[in-house]
Amino acid sequence: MNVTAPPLTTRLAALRLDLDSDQRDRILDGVGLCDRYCVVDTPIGLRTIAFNDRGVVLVSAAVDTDAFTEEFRSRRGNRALRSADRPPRGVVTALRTGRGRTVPTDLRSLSEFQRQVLAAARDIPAGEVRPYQWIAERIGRPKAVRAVGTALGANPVPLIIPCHRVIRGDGRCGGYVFGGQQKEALLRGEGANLEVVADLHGRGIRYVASATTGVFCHPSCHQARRITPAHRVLVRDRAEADRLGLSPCRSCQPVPVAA
Amino acid sequence: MGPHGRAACTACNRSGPAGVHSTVVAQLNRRLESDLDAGFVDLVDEMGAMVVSVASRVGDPSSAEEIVQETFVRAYRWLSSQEGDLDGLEIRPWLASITMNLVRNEYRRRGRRPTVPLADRSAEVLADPGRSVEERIVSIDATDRLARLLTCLPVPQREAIVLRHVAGLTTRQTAVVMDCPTGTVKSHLSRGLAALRSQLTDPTQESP
Repeated sequence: MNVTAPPLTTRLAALRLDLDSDQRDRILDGVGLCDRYCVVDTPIGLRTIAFNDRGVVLVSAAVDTDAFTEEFRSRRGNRALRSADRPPRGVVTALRTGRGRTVPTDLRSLSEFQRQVLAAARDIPAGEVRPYQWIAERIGRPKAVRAVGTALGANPVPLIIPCHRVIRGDGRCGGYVFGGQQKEALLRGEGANLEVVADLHGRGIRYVASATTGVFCHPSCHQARRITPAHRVLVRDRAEADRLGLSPCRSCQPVPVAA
Repeated sequence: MGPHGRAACTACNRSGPAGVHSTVVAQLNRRLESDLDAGFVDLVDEMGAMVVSVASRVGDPSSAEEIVQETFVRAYRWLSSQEGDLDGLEIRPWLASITMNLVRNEYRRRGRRPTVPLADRSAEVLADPGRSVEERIVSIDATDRLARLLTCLPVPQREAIVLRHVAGLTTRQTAVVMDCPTGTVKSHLSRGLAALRSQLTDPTQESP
């Protein structure tokens, strides 16, 4: 016998085994707690997306695996992560066309306020823009404009939830998770009439209305863009719209509709 | 499995000394209550080694992986049916109980008790730069020998020793898992340890 043999209980404790990381990931996968990731093409270049059975959880500019993993850890903690062969069905088309309203997302790790902001942003159609104020009013928190900006800036699934369609109250584009230039490029790619919006805002005009229908819209609304110049009425604000007896567009909802 | 775990903890609060360990476990309960999914990842990380150890050292190493997997699947399923109220659930013995039930089902299904001693850990020990070569070889030898001797003990002694000394449960928790009085666990433990000691010092009985 070895003279320096440790006590029996110590030797028994040494029979303890570890859970290896492969099996850890398989266990978490088995209960649906493993996110998967893959690289996808978008109008502003390659992005890495992470998703699980419930939906997309992260869209990241980090295409390099290590950099992506680091971002994933900071957002998702120590959840398991494995690579996937392909993204969930519909994601590629949604990213290409900007029509991603039906793509499922898993936003359970966000606060209720963040989820409301993102849900409101999701209602903005491709090719249109809304001011931060519009989101704030839509979720019943008209004074929380700055908090809305923060929530959109922390959007974990940009492009899928089009936070780039929310712009500043003065008609300028404002910031974006992937950078202001990308925001503008995306909006142009979707056909948004940014110059018109900026020009009208510069002149203090928030809305445009049709003299024939008596309906007023956000200047980027697809209905507003169909109004012929002869019938186009420029409206400074909602008070003026009221005075002129105009009714709000049902599509772009310049007057917030109670949820 | 539910009532088992719950009953255990009320017992714990009454009798057991509250140490660092129980604080950590209580935090895990809170984490599971506030966010089951995030908490469950922590649970796997904190309890994984214990479950693997019970599954491989009480059961047959060849079916251990499956049992570990199934333990956590059942644990998750049960936790998600609890709607956030985990007061009184003592996670460690509760998980160990799930594993033990699965191991016992496996004995029954195979119609025999676990057999194979294993040469696991050997590679790990061999690669350990903290020991001299001689030490490593002696250590591999001893570890494997001990694992092998463990499989030769009567089942209750083996279960008690693995739960208490390998998996690190307290004697009281071991009694909860084995569903018997603490005194019975103590006697299984002392007989089992005595048997191991005598076999370790008597080379003629080493390879049964």
